[in-house]
Amino acid sequence: MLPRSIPVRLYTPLMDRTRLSVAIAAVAALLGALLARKRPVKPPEHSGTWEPK
Amino acid sequence: MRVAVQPIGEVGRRVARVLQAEPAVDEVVAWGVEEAGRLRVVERLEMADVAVTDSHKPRPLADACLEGATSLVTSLSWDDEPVREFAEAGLSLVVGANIETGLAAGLALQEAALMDEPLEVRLAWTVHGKPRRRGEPIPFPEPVGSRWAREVDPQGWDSPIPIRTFEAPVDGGWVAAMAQVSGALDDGIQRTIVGTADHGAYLAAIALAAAVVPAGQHAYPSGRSWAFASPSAYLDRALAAGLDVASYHERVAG
Repeated sequence: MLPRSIPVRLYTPLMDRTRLSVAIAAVAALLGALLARKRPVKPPEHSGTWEPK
Repeated sequence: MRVAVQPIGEVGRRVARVLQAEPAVDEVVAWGVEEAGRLRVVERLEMADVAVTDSHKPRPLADACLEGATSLVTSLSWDDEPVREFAEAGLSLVVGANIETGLAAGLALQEAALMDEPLEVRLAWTVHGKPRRRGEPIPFPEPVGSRWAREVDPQGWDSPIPIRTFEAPVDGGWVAAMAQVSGALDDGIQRTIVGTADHGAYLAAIALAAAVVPAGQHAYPSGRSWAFASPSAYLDRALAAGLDVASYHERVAG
């Protein structure tokens, strides 16, 4: 049984929505950062040149 | 030499035009279609020395070739190839006249023939698909440029030189092929890279048409052969048809 001295915080539906929005924005920002760092479709240039044979 | 073309798509129609410009070809006719522009359409192949098709189902043409004593060149290999029938009739069945088992493998064998002791061949070509972001980095000539590729099983390679083959998915209309040949020298390893890149249908038509004249001139033995089996004759005709080959020069550090 909890001692009576511990305060109990009350969460309103409005507070839950705010926290949820913040969490979604954070996840979206993280995904965006990961996608921006995606590897390129062209590998790093080889150290050479093509010339007509 | 008279050639019959079964033009199914754009590649087949381009093959007909390439062969019409061939000095060794006297006439190009069409088979298996109702009309083919300026080409005369024939129903039987008795008058043709070689037939060629870009069809993915060439069995009907193969049967007509056996009836007409005509050699056959196809862009692919297929399941029910009449290998024994062509060999017994003394006719050539040339398969795989495409960018992979034609141009890339032919370039590799020609470069390997210039080396005293070729050690390994690497072939790579493009396929249509979503470009990869990891794998084996392959240097293709521009406009395709360097690409990531995945390793695939080699097809038809019967040379004693070890081989590894790669395909790189690309989007758009450009295609490319590359051959890298490593050979032993007294003081190290020699590495030669040659390749080509061009419009997809243009390069596919050259790769298919290039085997036709060699087949008609008996550069391939009777029975089934891969297009790369006669690399010099095959590449000579490809170069005459407009194939541009480039060689890759690696910079040496220091």
